[in-house]
Amino acid sequence: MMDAPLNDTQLLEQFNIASTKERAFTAILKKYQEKLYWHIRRMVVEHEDANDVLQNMFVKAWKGLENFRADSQLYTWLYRIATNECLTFLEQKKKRTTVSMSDNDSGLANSVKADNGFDSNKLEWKLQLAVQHLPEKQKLVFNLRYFDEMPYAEMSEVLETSEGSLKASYHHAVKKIEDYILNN
Amino acid sequence: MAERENILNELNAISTVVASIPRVNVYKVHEDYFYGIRAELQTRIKAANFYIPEKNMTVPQGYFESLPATILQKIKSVEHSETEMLSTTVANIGNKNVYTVPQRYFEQLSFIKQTTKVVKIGNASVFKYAAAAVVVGLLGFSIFTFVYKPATLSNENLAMVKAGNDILIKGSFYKELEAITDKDLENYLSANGEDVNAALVASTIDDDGKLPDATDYFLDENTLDNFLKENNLKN
Repeated sequence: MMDAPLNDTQLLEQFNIASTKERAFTAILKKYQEKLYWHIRRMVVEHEDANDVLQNMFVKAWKGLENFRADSQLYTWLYRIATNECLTFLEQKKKRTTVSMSDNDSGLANSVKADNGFDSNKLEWKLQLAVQHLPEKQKLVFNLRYFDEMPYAEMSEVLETSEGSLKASYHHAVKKIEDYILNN
Repeated sequence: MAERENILNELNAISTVVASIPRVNVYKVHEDYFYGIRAELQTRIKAANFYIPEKNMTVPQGYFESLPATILQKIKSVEHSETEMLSTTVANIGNKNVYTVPQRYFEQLSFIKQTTKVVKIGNASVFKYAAAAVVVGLLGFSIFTFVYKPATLSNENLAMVKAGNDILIKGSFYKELEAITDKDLENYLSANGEDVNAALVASTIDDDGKLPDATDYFLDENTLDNFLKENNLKN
């Protein structure tokens, strides 16, 4: 008989016991790696970059989990680390390529176009191109709401922003995407 | 599910165009990726753990054993650079020892130290021999005068002959030996060209060793003076 999967509280308890630490972390990885990967991938577009960011964020999570206080949910905490890692990565990439922010956005849009499955005739790919032209904060809010279906309350924890501000950002993001789709 | 409905309603309210777009994940990833990433991550975390400070601080194995050598090496390099600043010619010569010692000298050195009998200058025997010499001298002088019968003798020599005769008659050699005073010894040693003070210092030292420790001389420059005063040897 298979054991029932542990909830986050149980996993955290096991993580704090030396003998079950690795097993608990592996379970956390299994549980959240895909969600977090796609969140990262939609931000950085290329798989290799997403892979680097995902690994870095989980290494940081491992280091930080010992001091993790359950005043926020584990998954919102992981999302926050992932988001911060994405923003750091994009910032560094921008510096490396020494181009302006708008050029970098075009760079991300070019990465979308360079994807093996890219099809300019499909609306879902057009949507991705439109997203890459959004400011970073709006891009994050749109992705978390539209793709990850995250409630504003949780998103507020992840992005440390008020729900009202998030709703406004989402509204602006959707309007810009609509505009892009209609005009491209 | 309720959240999904909320999101769709919200999206429809903002933009029917965007709401009509199929909500699919356009990106793909290798089907084994998520399996492999776990193993890769665990390897990385184990490697990264090396840099996490331990609650109970430790040092690498053998750290303290090699520390003196490491520090000495550092000191030598600093010293070398100091010399180099003063003279590159001298620095380049190096500090190689040009002298040699007989083969296995250092191996045998400790053996030599252990087996060689060390004669202590400060041995009480010096005192005993000196005292014995005084008595033997008296006896010798007494026998000399008895055999050769000199025509005249000073009062002092007459006293010496008498003392020698008394010893011979009474057979009190050891008794006389014990009765010899420091002054008698001083006179005897002076007459025989000995360093009286050195001999007296030596004579005060018994086998238990009352001499100050060698380090005492480094710690207090008055060590010798104090020692001589304590033993009434200081003029």
